[in-house]
Amino acid sequence: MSKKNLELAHKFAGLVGAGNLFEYLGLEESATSDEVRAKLREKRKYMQGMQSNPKYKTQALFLIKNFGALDTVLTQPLAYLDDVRRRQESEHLPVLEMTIKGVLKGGRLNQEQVSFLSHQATELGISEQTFQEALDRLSTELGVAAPLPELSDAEKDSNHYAVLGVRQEAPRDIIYDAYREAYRDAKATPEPAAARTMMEAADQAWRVLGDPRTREAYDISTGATAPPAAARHTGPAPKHAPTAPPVRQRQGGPQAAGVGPRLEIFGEPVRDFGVGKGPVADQIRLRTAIPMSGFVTSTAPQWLKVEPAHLIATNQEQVLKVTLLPEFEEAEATAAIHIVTERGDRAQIVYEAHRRRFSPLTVGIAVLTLVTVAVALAVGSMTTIKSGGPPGLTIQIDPSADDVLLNGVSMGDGSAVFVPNPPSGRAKLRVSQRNFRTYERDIEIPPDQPLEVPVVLELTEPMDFRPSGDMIQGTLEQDVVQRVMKPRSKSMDDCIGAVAEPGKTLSGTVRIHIRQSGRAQGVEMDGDGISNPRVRTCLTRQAAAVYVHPLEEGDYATVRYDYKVTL
Amino acid sequence: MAQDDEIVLGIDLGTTFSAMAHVNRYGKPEIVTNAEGYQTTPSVVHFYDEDACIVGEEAVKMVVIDPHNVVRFIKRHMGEEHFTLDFFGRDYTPQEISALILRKLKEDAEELLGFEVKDAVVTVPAYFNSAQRGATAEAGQIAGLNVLSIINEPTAAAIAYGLDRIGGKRKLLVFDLGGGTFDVTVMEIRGTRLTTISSDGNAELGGKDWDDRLLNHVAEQFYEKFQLDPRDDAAPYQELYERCLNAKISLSSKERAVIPVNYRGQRMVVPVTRDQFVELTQDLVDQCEDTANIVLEKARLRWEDLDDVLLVGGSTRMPMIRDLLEGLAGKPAAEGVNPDECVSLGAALAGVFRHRPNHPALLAQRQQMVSRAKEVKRAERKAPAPVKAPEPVADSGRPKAAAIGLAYGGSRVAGGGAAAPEPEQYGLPGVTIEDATTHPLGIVVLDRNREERVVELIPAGTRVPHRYKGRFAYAYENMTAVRVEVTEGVGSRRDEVTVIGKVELTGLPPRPRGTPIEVIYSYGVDQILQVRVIDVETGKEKEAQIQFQGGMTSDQVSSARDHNRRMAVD
Repeated sequence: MSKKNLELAHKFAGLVGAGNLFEYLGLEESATSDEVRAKLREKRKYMQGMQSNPKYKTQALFLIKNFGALDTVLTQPLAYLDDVRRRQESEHLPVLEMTIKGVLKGGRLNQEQVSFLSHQATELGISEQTFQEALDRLSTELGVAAPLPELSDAEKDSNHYAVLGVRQEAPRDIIYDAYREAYRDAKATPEPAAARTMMEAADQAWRVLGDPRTREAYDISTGATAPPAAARHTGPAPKHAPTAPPVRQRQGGPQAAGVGPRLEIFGEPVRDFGVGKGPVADQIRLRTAIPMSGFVTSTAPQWLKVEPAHLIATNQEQVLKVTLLPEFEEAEATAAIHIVTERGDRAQIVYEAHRRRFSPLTVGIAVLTLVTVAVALAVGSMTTIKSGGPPGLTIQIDPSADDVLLNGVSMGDGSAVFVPNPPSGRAKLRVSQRNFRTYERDIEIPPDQPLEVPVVLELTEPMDFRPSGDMIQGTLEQDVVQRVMKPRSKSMDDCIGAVAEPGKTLSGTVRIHIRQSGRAQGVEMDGDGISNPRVRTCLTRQAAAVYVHPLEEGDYATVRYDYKVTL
Repeated sequence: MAQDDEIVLGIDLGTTFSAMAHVNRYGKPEIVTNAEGYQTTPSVVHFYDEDACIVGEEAVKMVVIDPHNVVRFIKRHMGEEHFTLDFFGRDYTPQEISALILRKLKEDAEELLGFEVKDAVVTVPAYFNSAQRGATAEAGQIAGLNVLSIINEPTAAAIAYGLDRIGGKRKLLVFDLGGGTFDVTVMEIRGTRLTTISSDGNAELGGKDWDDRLLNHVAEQFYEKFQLDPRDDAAPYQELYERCLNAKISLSSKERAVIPVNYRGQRMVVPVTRDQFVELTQDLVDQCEDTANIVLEKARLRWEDLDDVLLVGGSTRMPMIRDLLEGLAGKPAAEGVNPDECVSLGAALAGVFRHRPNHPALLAQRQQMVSRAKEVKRAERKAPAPVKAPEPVADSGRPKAAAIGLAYGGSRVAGGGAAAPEPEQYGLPGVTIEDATTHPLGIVVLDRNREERVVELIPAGTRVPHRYKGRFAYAYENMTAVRVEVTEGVGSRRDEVTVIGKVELTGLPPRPRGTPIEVIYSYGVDQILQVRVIDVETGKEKEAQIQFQGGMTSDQVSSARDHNRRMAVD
């Protein structure tokens, strides 16, 4: 079975919003190859009647055109289903793993957590077996035992480990964390009597387990084998005397290492991107309380891409780039970016993409809107959306840059570059983009404060605009479609003109038509000024970057460029 | 060799409607009506058995009853790879389905005219690429027609329109918005020469899109009220589509239309005003406007430079399109042109001009036409200022519409034809047609870094016939063969363009890098590309014809033809 066909089958399932072709055809996965192929044939026949139906057109045409490929895939239904499963798992397993790791960081694992994780796994389409394997593997790696068997209440009260919900081999710092947590849980209990009992039990457990000597004695008394010494002493030296009650914590307040929330997302909710300015892309700035690794995924990877797919484990502050891909075909859709840190902190950022004004046939410009940001911390719950930026350097580039260098070090590209930890003091900023004059400037970066540097790039030279006849002809090398689709720089033989009297400056609009028709693609420009033979230069066009993605054959996008003509 | 007066059927194979015409023995083009007696035939095929189908009006009626066995808008898929439709266990390519329509037209014409029709000229939208053109030619072959040439629809329309304006110098904008395709072409009529100056379009925009807007609007209203979507089922969808189509048509003459929706026992009547309809489709109109502006810009013309705006295609009946062009051009569009018929009429004329140079009607009239052209020129020279748009038809008192109607021939306005004072004016002049390419043609070469790159040899908008000579060189030492890959489309990388043909020159002596090789592209009026590859040093050369391929091999075509012959077409 060829990879290409499987890819098509997968794409089709995604297009029709089904998990796999069986689901789409309304068949059980146990159906035989013949059954499912007959059903597919039937479906294709049905779709033949729907191919001009605007609602089903895309689906119907895809099925008709790729029927051969899909049919081939279904000759081996088992291999196909296997591939689907593998695909789903490989997409979602990292997310699950991160969640498991986050839970296991607590050093204990109870039944409730297992069922939570198992539920997560089912939601992510991961089989029970794979989930169990992942759980076993990770708990072994992190030294956390499988959930303790359910103990009777009496046993629970008498077993100090059970009271705190930790394993016997747990190192001391984990026991300390568990103790504090148990204490907090107790405080949150609405019945004062029960709360007191729980607190007392937790205090008692910590008094015994917090001191290595009493713990050893306790272990011997309960008949447990002594855990390896190494495990017990991996944690930091005790900060508190075991008998001393812990420092009281504010409820829901900062915890774990460092101060402040563990995951912060910066930015204003409800923002539009890509309305004629900049790419159809957004940047999510986030800060973790301590450097943390983690995973970042998009719920609709086929059209909403997020980069990078991991949090960088050594950075506290990072920038994720969210891009709307040309594969976006719907008129309107919602997708979310999920961030899961290694500690199990989760954030969800919901985007809505829709086409503005244009229909699926005409559009080039799609708009991405950030709708909500929700951050859920693994322990406690806290939502943090900070307006404005974190300390750091933001360079806004109009229209956009191929490369942004700070003191000779590349910081990225695009229309906005965020440098989380810039060197304070004077720095050399250099922004370059083909066809534009390289921008160089020294900037003064204040320590620990946000700084935004706007950069407006100017086009290099008159771009070879020559008067000829009654039109100005010119060749313009323009990277019109960048990043969002494959870069396609075209040389254009086209005209820009304006009626202008000598000595006067005239502003106007130049429209650029991006055309993709048949298999031909190209860019055309037309100006709404009228030509004049005496116009000699055509300069300083403050061009907003054109980021369009032709979606279907024959799409048009009209992008307005402002230009100034000086005689 | 065909007889000089043997018929050439001009066929306008449209997305929603097709029409055909021939040039009668008096040299007048006339529409050939179908068996049902209509000037146009819906391009709809209904398969009711494995070897039987209905084409036309009757097939349209089956859409609601048997939606899964009815094909519409097949033209939109011409030239698409892997696109096949399944009817009664057989897979049909778009070519084969179009062939059934062509066969119906051919047989109806034979019945009406009383003799066999062998040759035809088929029109395609100017913006069709080579695969689409090739597929159209293949459809003709399958239908058993000898397709003499494939010509552009706007060119054909301009021929039909410009016939009685020959002799002057006029600039013409042909705005062709059909059921599924859209083209704008600027043409110049100078003397007896018709030249395409620039052309652009969108093979995926047409009246269908207007219908869809209306349909979506109605379906959404219905959904809001009943949470049911009539688009979800094939038959109710088709029924609603028909109603929307009719509403669209009536909105051209009325301010208001109502669209009844009946789905799963729920009923609703959605009223739509013309203003609402305009609002729903504003962006489509904008797109038309943009394209028209681009074409004019490419032609280096302004709207006021145009002498006429010619509206072709049924969708140009919509007031919003008429208003748009009137607003742009500052004057009403040329009247009296039947947007459904002029393309096939022009195709019939082009067929005679090109392929029956010794047609008796042509010969008889030519001398008179040429002398009349000279006369007009002389008159122009004498009084150049007022005669901007010379009206060669003598009776200037007669409304323009009637004059054009006459030029179109007897079938419709036979009475008017008889009343014409100077019958020789309606004969056939010797017209030269110059088309222009709409897609650039190029060649795949290796650049200095030995990376593949596509170099454009014949740019889009080049007037045909055209010849290009380019010099290339050996990319490697000691090559013994050179391969020229002909590409079509805009782009500098191979994956951005389509390779439409290959020519290999083999058996060359091994020589160093840089040995010159000459490549000549000659693009003829019949849209056929001749490629010559010449080894400059030895003089060895290879010539090949690149024919537009629609994606079927000749075996496939001939087996499809066998099947087509077996098929009963009603």
